[in-house]
Amino acid sequence: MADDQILLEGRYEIKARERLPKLDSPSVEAFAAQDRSDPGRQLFALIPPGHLPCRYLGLLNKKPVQEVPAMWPRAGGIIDWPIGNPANAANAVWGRRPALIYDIPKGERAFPPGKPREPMTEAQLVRLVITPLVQALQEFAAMGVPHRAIRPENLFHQVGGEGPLRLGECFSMPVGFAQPVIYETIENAIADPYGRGSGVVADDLYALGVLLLTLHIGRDPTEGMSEEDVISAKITAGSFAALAGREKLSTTMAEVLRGLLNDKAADRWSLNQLTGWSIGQPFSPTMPHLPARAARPLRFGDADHMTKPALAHAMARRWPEALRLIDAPDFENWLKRSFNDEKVNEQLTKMAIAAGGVGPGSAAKDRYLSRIIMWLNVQSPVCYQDFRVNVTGLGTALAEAMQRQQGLTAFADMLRGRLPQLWMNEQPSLNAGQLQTRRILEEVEKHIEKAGAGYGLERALYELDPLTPCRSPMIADFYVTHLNDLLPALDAALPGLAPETVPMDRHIAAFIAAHLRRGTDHELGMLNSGSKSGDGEVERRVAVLRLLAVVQAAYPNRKLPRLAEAMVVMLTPALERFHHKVARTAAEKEMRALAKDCDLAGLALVFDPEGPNRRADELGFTAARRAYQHLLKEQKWLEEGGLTHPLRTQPVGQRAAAVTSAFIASAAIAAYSVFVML
Amino acid sequence: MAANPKPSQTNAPAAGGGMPFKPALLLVLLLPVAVMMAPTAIVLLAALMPTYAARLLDSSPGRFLTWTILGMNVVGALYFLHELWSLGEDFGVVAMVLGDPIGWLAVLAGAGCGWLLYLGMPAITARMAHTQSALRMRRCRRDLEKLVEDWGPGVARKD
Repeated sequence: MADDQILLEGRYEIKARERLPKLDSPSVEAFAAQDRSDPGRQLFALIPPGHLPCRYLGLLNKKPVQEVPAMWPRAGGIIDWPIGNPANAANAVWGRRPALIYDIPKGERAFPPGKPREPMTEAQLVRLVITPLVQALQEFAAMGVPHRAIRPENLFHQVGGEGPLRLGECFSMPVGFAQPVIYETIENAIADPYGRGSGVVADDLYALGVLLLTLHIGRDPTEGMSEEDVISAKITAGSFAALAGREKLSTTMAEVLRGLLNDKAADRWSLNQLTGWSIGQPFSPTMPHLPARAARPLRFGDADHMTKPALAHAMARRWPEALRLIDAPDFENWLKRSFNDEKVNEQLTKMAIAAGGVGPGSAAKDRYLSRIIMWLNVQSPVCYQDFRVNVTGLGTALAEAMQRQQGLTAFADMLRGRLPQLWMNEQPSLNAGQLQTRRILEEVEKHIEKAGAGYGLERALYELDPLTPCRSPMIADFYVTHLNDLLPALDAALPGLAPETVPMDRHIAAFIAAHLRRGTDHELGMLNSGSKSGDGEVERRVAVLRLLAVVQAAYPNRKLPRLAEAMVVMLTPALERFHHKVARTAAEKEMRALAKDCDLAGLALVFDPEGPNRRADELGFTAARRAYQHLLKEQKWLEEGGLTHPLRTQPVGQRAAAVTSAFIASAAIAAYSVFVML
Repeated sequence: MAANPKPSQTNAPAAGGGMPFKPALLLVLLLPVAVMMAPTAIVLLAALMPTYAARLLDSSPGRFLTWTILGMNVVGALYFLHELWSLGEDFGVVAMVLGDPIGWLAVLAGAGCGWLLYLGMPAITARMAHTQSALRMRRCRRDLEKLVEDWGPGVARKD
């Protein structure tokens, strides 16, 4: 049983058999937890899904400097976790998952779903909601971390069942994932829940504005409306008018809601303005920014549209119909006549030409539509077929698409068509997160068109969000987010894989290439150069070894016995690449010795085609082939009488006769001379 | 345009910078010695008759027949020379010496041995070449087998 204990940081024990459903977050289950250093503390753990990046893992060094009325993880990290059915840990397959440890809130959930709410007065709102939440948001803003999960269901009382509120957790799922569209700004509401992006504090203030409204009136002002209708209403009338327009509000309440629900982020109230309002400071009212209205409506889908952004939103949700619409003369006429814009035709032609110039030819019309939607509503997220994604949410959206294995071609086409870059070019200004994404997309652009392992959509997945776990089917259960964990995960996964599995696939190659702080084009080139049979397969295996050796060199780890054994099995065919018998035997001996030491770099050197062993063997082989051909020629020459032909032996014999004769004569003269002298 | 002459047709010195062997030059050099030792020269000129005959027959590039006959002919001529020098080197004994049939027998026997040597030696060298060829063939086969054994059948691939 002791083996089943799940520990984080050697201190927090997570009890996989003790579910705490009341503390679940959307799509995330809660479990009981215990602090071994402080057993009396009431803790629980959230186990986020294994296929998405966990935002908190990038914030491990950040912590609020003071106690704030918001749930902040006491600890976080990656733990061993029974996959499948955590309650039956004894028979479970073990993998790894991120875990977030929180203190169990001392207060109850303030607004459980389905429970009717009493309207709150302004004074109650200031005391119970604004004051504590602004304090929390100020601390979050100081750390540069937006909360992005402000909604009634995610609020707790600080103590007991009443009194001031505190914010619930916000790190277990992607930013803004569980937010109903009413709590989201127009651009975030249009975006898919997995693609809302990192967000900014202004998004939290918008959600706080909606929260104040719903708590003040005691109900959801959009009750009975579909998500699309809510977004359309916000676009057409502005958020304040769409949500609070029919409510009877005091002047002061209307003032704060106008400020917080302003659809232009730059004009939206800041935390300081909200604090000032709560202590009675007056602020001049901000005017809503409404899109230009058409002279006549355009019928599209089930509704008449009077503004370009409203039409853009409808088009983004009805892609096939929108593709037909942009071909219809009505569309261009409506844009030209209803907005008195004679240059529409020129603009549309320009976009059509630009859409045809970049990306796959088969998707030119989709790109054209995407660009039209951007042009109609600059604030809209990037829309392409079934995807509506903010640029900072591309990573999580792609991770989810990878998990579902749906729309991957469309996503790749979107990136190949440079639509996110075009979207950023259209924006009047970019925030820090978007600027960072622009730099990442420049890197993605270099690799997305390449077809080999280590490139393509998989590479984009790991470049777009460095916290995305490696999704290789071999190690997907091990939640590998850092290269340091890659080789141990492979080592642990190998016993469960088929014999002779080569521990490399497109995901692992892309993960390594995206995370290594040096170029890997050489290694990836080797990996992709060979065919998948015969000699090509052998060289591919050597390239796999080289890539893993590079990882081991960057993050030394010699406790990889199963991986080393798998390398031996994988490389056995590669021994045949050594031509010389002795060199082969020596290489095999060296391979086994290095595998015993789990020295992948040493192994790579032995099998490296450019390494000293293979190079010397190759040079020797070339010389041996030359010698063989030379010997064959000599043999043929001898067989054809090269040495024994009379034409050769005759002159030799005659020369020998002359020489012999000269010797005899010399000897006779010498003997006679001696005779005479004696 | 005139064609370039073949290297063999030019008067350039032989490779190595040395002068080619010229028998006529040797004769010119030996002429003063022959004048001083005129009886000996006369006897020797007469005794080397078989060599002159061989030279007339010999058209091979190296003149090996001539050289073979010359060597053995000189050995046979030693009889005449010994007789001349024993009787005193004088024009008067030249005729007597050259009239000795045993001397002529020795000269002709020597030349005959030269012929035998010239005709027999190629057969001996041919036999030796056969033996050498067989040895080299065996070494070739052994080396080929060793190469295949060490480097595998791929070593025999031609491409």
